[in-house]
Amino acid sequence: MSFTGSSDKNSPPVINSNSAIDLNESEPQAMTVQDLNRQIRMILEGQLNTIWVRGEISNFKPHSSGHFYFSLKDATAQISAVMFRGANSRVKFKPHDGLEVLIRGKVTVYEPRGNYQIICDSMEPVGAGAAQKAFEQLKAKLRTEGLFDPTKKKPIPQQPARIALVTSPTGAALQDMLNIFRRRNPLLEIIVVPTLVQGEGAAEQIQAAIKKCFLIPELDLIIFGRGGGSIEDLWAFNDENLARLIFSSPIPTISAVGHEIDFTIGDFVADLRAPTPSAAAELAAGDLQEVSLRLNSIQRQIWNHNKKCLQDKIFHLTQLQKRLIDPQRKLIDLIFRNDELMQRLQQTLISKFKLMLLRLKASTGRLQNPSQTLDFKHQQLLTSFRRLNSGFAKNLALANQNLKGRMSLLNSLSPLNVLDRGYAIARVDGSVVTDIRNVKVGDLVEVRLASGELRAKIESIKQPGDRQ
Amino acid sequence: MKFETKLARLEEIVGKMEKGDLTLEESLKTFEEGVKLSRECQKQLQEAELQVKKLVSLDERGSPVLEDMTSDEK
Repeated sequence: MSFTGSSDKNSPPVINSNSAIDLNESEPQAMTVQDLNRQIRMILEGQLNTIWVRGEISNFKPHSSGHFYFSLKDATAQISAVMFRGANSRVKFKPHDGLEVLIRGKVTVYEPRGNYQIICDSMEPVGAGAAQKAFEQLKAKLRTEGLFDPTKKKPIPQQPARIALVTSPTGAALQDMLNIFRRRNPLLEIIVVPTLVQGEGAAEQIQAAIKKCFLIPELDLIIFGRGGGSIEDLWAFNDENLARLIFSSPIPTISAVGHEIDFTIGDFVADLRAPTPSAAAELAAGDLQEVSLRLNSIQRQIWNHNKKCLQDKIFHLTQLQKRLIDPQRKLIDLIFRNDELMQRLQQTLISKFKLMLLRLKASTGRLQNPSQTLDFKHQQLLTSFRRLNSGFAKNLALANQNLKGRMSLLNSLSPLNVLDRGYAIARVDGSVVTDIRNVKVGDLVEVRLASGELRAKIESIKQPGDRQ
Repeated sequence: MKFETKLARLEEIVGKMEKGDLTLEESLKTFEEGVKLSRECQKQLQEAELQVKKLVSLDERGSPVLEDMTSDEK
């Protein structure tokens, strides 16, 4: 045997070489790998049945089967995790790498590979609870201050003409709203006031955009909002300063943030909360149909009023026309008066002559001696009287003829032949009756018709409007 | 003139005609104006196309500067 002392200096010293031999002689009870994994599984699954773990998501993989596969890690360690479809459908946010979450689950072992992992049955982002608490506190504070007071809400205009949209210029929400406005009321003028709606500085940008709206002349309405997203995505609309700005807006506001289930502080403080941007557009657009109906009604009213106005004027005119004295009637009156005067003149003359003749006869009779000269004179007088009389009669006939000629001329010139048309002229004592106050019951009336004259007696006199 | 302004004017005209104290000439003139305005309104309704503008900035006096949104933005 050689001395190998120094060369074996680094070798582990063999302690009790006999015991090694002993090990070989009596084999210890060995476990199978399967048994081991089963035991590990029983221990782990028994001990770590319901646990809460806080960690950061990494290597997140949503599988096509609907299950989530990922790792949970912290600064120094990591563990595989899985969340099956049924459980992950209850997660209200989108998990992604880097997000710190609090999960509840249990540890399981996959025996064939000796792997262990967490099966998650619930997951929520770390800090969500704190944020929710802050949200509720702000909401309570602003409510106490009266910022949500329904009596402070401004009415939304029924038929706005100019609407500002405070939203992302590239978001789907804007397109949704524009489509609805185009369909519902293309008379509108829409002014897009672009802003970030999520992330760092979004709340400040939204405030700046709303302040710009205040400078737009004749603005009827402000709609602020964005499409749906996670609670974090909508967070900018929970800003306290933004809420106060919305409350102080001189222009009515509609909030249009996220989906129907999402509520932000902006929703409470706006004059009207729309469940979605599309709904906001529907609520704001006004109804063109209604405007159209209103216009039609105005048009009808204008036509009707004009017709009525013209009818009124025509009625007034006819009334006035009726009150104008018909010149023809006046003429007929004159003709009768002329006739009458002529007759009276004739009669007076004749009676005068008769009187003169009688006187003459009497005076001649009184003369005891009727002389030739007297006879002759008488004869002469008679002759001249006859001549005078016949001359007068001739003149009278001539005048009458002349008058009749003029009368018929006037008659032929007149547009209406009054008597032919059935009118009658009534006279009492030779005067034309134009007023019932000038006659009395029992008066004899001469009624002149086209074809002749009637004599009638007045039986009664009625005022117009007298009842039977 | 904006549609709403026209509609308001039309309503004013109807009110004036309703009162009925217009002279014939005035009423014909009012009627003419009413018919003209209502036809314009009708035309505006039929030809309306949504106007979409973008507030791009504020000028030095602080007034908003508006630009028509391009069709692809719309």
